[in-house]
Amino acid sequence: MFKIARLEIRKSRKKYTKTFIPIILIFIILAILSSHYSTTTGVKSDYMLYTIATPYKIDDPHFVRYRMTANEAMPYLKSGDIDIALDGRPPYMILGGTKKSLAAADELLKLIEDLFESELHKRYGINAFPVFVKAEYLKRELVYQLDLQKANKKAESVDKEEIEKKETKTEKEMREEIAKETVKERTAIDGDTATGFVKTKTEYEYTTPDDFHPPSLLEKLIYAFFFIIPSYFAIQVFSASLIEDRIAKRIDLLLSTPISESDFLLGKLIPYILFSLIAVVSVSMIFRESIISVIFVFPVIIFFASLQMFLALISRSYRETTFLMIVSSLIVTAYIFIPSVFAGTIPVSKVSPITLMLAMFEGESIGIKDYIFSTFQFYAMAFVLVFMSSKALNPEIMHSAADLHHRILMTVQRAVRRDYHAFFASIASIPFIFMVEFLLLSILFIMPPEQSIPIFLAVVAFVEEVFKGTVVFAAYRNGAPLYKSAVFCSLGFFMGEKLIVILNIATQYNTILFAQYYVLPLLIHLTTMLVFALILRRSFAAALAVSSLLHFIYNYAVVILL
Amino acid sequence: MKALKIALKDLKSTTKERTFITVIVLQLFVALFASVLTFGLLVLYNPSFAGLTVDTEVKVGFVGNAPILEAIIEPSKKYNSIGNALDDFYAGKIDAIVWLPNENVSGTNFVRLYLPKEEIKAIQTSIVIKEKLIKYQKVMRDLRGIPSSIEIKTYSTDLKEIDVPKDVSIPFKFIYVVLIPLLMITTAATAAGIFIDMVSEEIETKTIHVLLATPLKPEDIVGGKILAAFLLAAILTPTWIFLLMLNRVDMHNPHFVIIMALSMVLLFISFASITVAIAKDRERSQLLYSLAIIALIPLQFISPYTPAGLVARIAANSPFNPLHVLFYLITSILLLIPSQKVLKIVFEKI
Repeated sequence: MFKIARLEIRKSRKKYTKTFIPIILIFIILAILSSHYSTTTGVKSDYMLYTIATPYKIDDPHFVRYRMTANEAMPYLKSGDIDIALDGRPPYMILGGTKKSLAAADELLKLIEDLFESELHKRYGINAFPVFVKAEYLKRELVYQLDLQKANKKAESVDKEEIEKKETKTEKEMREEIAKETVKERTAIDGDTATGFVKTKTEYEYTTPDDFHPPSLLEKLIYAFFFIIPSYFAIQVFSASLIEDRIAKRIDLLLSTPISESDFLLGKLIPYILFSLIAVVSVSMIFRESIISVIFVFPVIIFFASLQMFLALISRSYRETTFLMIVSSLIVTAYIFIPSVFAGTIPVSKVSPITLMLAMFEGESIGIKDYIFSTFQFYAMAFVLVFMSSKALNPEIMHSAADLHHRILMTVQRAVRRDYHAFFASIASIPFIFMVEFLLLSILFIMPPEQSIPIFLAVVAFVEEVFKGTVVFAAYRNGAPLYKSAVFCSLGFFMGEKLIVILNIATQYNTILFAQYYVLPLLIHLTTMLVFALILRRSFAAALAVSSLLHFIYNYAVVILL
Repeated sequence: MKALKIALKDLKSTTKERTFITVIVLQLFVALFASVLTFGLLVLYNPSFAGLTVDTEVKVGFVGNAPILEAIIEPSKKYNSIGNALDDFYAGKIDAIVWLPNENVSGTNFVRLYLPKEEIKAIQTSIVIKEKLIKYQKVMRDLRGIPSSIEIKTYSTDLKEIDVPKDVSIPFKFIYVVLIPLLMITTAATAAGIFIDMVSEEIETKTIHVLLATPLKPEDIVGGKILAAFLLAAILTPTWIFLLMLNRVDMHNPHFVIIMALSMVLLFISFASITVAIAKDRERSQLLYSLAIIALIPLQFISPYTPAGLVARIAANSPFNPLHVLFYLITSILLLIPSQKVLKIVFEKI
């Protein structure tokens, strides 16, 4: 393995010569300067977006002002050339009928409100702000429910009792802390009441009711990008190097030596992982954050690298790799960053290690349980992908001209040879299904529930059937008994779901996988897979369609009934 | 003509690989990714806007001697100590605690809130309490004779009073200032990315020698590759514009949007040509190219005159100068000439 790693480093040295490295450095410096400049300047591309007709002076670059009265502006408002008019004393606003005019009115109202508040501060000082708020968020571990369906009541009461036992200690600590803090705060406030506007805000984290918002790590999110981006580049170079070896048939040559497939892959990967880790440590040091951040970024890096490894091996050409790389990078980025947006408010945010990293930067302590919960899936997927890549290291697959899904099937076929292999293969597919379904949850956010819930359930059913169907099909093509493989596959899937429940890894997500109903899921997995097997002899597509439909009907019925 | 033939050959293999579908999926994904982010913003600041029903029946516990605040909060239960309130909070009997030890009509009142962590309820509860605290601020200001708020009536053009939903500008700005520019940039970035692959593949698999042995001139080959990438983008751009329209987004001046998007494609292809000319192989060219893109994207948002700022205003029917569009078009075409020359030299030297 280390021999391969050394070889890889030697190969890179030939490419990244003394003349080429300065060029890369210049590009990197340019990228850093550009992002630094943009963050300090802020977004200005939304300037001059709205048009306003008013005799008053408007000091805001978002508005292009036309000096006219509301009456004069009327024809332009109607034609949509001007968005809003502001006129009169007391002032009133006239909106053109477009969506844009509503947006312009909203922005203008906010602007006026801000001006009003600062005017109050100028005139009356702190006296104009009689109320300040500070919120503290206390963790109480109740069982979470998704709005889609109610959680199983029985399981809930058992869980609650257990959790309450654990909770007493932290609750006690919390109370002592609150008591201490209150004493401190009172003396501070009593001692110096007229601390003034700004100081009050920063010293005690109090805000006016208008400025009070639920906590968000959104601003910190951009910060997290700096920890991840360097690794993306390292991994990009890794997959490029791998695909180059593949196309130049260097891999074929190495495979004829006694080196094993996994040694070859891991050996190739090691230099890039090391580089990524060094980059994370350096970024942590630059930002003066704890280098423990590495343990949060590491699972993401190895998952992303193994995904790129697999894609580089099964894509046909450079072009296909480029596309698959862009799509997969976006998906992975979304999967690790979007949950952090909801950090602290929605339990699902903890599915991403990045949320935990940002929480750590904010001074929170992260428990082992949380760490395992958010990273286990990444480690598991990385393991499965390296395994699958080792199966794809086959001249027949690497140099085949078949479609992408055929290549994937050929790879699965090399992994699932006997009927009982289907059992393990379907367990291995669960972390991937979980990721896909989690991303699909976003459908629920962008569409009204009447449409989004059925669509979501249908897609979930389809995704699960695709994974299971591929496994069974692969076993069948290897000559394994069809029905036995189908039974093994559904048993594996069922066991995998239950394993998640038992290990309590994804307490909050059982509802997504419908895992809380004990016997029903097994029945549905068995039924759909047997029906799939029955039709498979005729056509894969038809079998998939029927089993997905059955699965969807079941999902839908569960949601409607509960 | 010869360049067109090469372009069509390259496009054909691209369609064979279903690249087109992948790019559409990619664009849909960009849209989805960005929408969920906006949704995140909206839900945190204004859940009722995002379509979530705010349950106003949140159970609030109240602690302290503050009659005015208590009357506004309308707590479901009043406690005489914070300890008792916390008991009920941890037991799940109440969702929040509002605590103001002593109300001060003439001074500053520091209100403390205790909310559940990592529960969807925390958002809903904080929104309800926020509204009530704003009301409390208003009452306290009134008591001090300080103007409490400013009210501006809003009318439609037929002078009927209308309501402006709070934060309606967030999704609007998101579509025009973020999404449309991002779609424009992704299209350009992918088309130029393919361009790198098409050129470097010919160099690395040495098929360039075969091509050069034919009567084809190096400039025909380079021209063909540029044309192929450009044509791909020329199909993609109207596609995403159409998809946006299908989603009931008002796309104004689509012809200008297309010109801007295609100018960006040419601009990116120029960058791509330079990186291939420097690095020659795919691995290094793609690395340099991605770094260049990373450097370029943030700069798009720093001024209203950047391509991103310009396309936002064009699509939103805001004031813009068509000469600026012409400027980008001409610049992008002019930049192609030297980059094509550089690549020609690279091909000749191989």
